[in-house]
Order: sequence, then structure tokens, then C-alpha cells
Amino acid sequence: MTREITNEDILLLVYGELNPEDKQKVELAIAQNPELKQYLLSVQQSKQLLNTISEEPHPTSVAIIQEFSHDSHTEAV
Amino acid sequence: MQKQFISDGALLKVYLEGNESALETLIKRHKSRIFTSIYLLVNDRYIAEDIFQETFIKIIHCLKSGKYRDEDKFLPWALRIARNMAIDSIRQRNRMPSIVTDSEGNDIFSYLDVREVSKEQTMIEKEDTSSLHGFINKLPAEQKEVLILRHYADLSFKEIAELTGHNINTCIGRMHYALINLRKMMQKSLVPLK
Repeated sequence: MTREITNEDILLLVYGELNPEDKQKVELAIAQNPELKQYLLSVQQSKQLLNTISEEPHPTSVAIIQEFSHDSHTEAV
Repeated sequence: MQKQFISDGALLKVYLEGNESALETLIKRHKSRIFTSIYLLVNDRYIAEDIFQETFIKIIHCLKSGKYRDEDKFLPWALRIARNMAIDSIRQRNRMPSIVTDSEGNDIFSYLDVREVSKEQTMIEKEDTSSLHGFINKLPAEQKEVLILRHYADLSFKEIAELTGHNINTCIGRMHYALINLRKMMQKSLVPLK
């Protein structure tokens, strides 16, 4: 990574998609640039907020799937 | 004693050998990511439950007929199926006429007392638009999809690019704008942000 560090690189950093070498470069750029640091903070906050949504399927849905699997296995045998 | 992690690929192999509990482990491991993604895409819990079931039934069919071979990429594959089903469902709903008539051309909803449902629905909608879920729904479709696939489905931007057929930089850009737009909506509605 020889180009200028952008907000998109910070997104990749926050979502853990940079290799160790690029991660180090982006972290260094953030330490030297208040705007990048501000963007990093805002993405981290948004990520935390998004984490508050987590939905689970109803247990009946899971039971239907397991029953289907069991039945199709029995049929195959 | 530390519990040993069994990879998705190993679980699929054991499942195909007849071990039903391997499927249970797979569902338990991925159900939240898959269901949350479906639910946010279709924005209806009942439809999401149906799609979740249909997704796994299709997965089971494919596995048992030997159509699936890439054991290490179970989640992206499962999400691809779920996403396609969610998109089909949204298209179907959009094609549905807003007024359903009987054979004599009368609006069939006129036979039903829908006043209470409408009142409840209005309350849900009111609540929804002031919540984070409501804000996500207000995002442009392409931004909403990338946000759901990256954040809730936990796919990498590369996997999202492959799944949606868009350039990886386009996907990263859409995520960037999705987060900016969400922040703007939250600030506008005074949802506290640090």
C-alpha cells in the first residue's frame, strides 16, 4: 500500500480485512491525521450501534428444518 | 478441558455420513447471522421465518444430492441462497396488487374488519422508523444490502463483491455511504451518539 490512506482503508481496518503490513500503515496514518482518527471513531461507534440488532429464528423454524433433514435421511436409507 | 472447534467442512462431512447432530451444530453456529440478514432484507418476521426454513431445506437438498462441494465456504454459500430467496420474495411482494378483488370485483378486504390491524400496524411503523432497524430500511437498497451482508452476515467485501456481481471498491464505497447516511438519520432524530 503506497497510496494515500482513505476512509475506505479505515473501513477495511475496522472490519478486520487488512493484512498485518497494511494494518500497520493504516494505523500509522491514523495516528498522524486527526480527520482519519475522527472517521475511525465514528465507524467504531456505528459498528457498536449496529451490534445492538441481532435476531434469532423461532425455535419452530429450526425444528422444522431438523425434522425435514431427519425425514429425508430416513427416506434415503 | 478446552472444547475443540470443528470446522463447517468437517461438520458437513459428518452430516452426510448420517450424523444429524452435525446439522444442529451448523444451524446453531450460523442461525443468527443468516436470520438477521434475511429479516433485515425482507423487513417482515413471518416472511423471514419462511425464507430461513426454505434456505436450509434447499441446503439439505443440495448437500444430499452431492451438488455442494466447497465445504470451507458454507456460510457465504448459505447466505447466497438466503439472499436470492429474500430478493425473490421482495419482487413477489412488489408485484402483488394493492387491492385484491373477488370474482365480482369487490375489494375482499372490505369483508374483513381490519381497523384494529391497521391501528397496530401504524404503531409498529411509527416505532420502526424511529429505530435503528427503521433507519437501515430507509437506506438506498444497494447500500442496505452491503451493510447487511458485511455487518450482519459477516461476509468480507471480496465475498460481497462476488455475491452481488459488483466491484469490491463499489461495495466498500456503498458501506461507507451507508454508515454516513445512518449517522445522519440518527443525528436528525436525536438518537444519542457519543
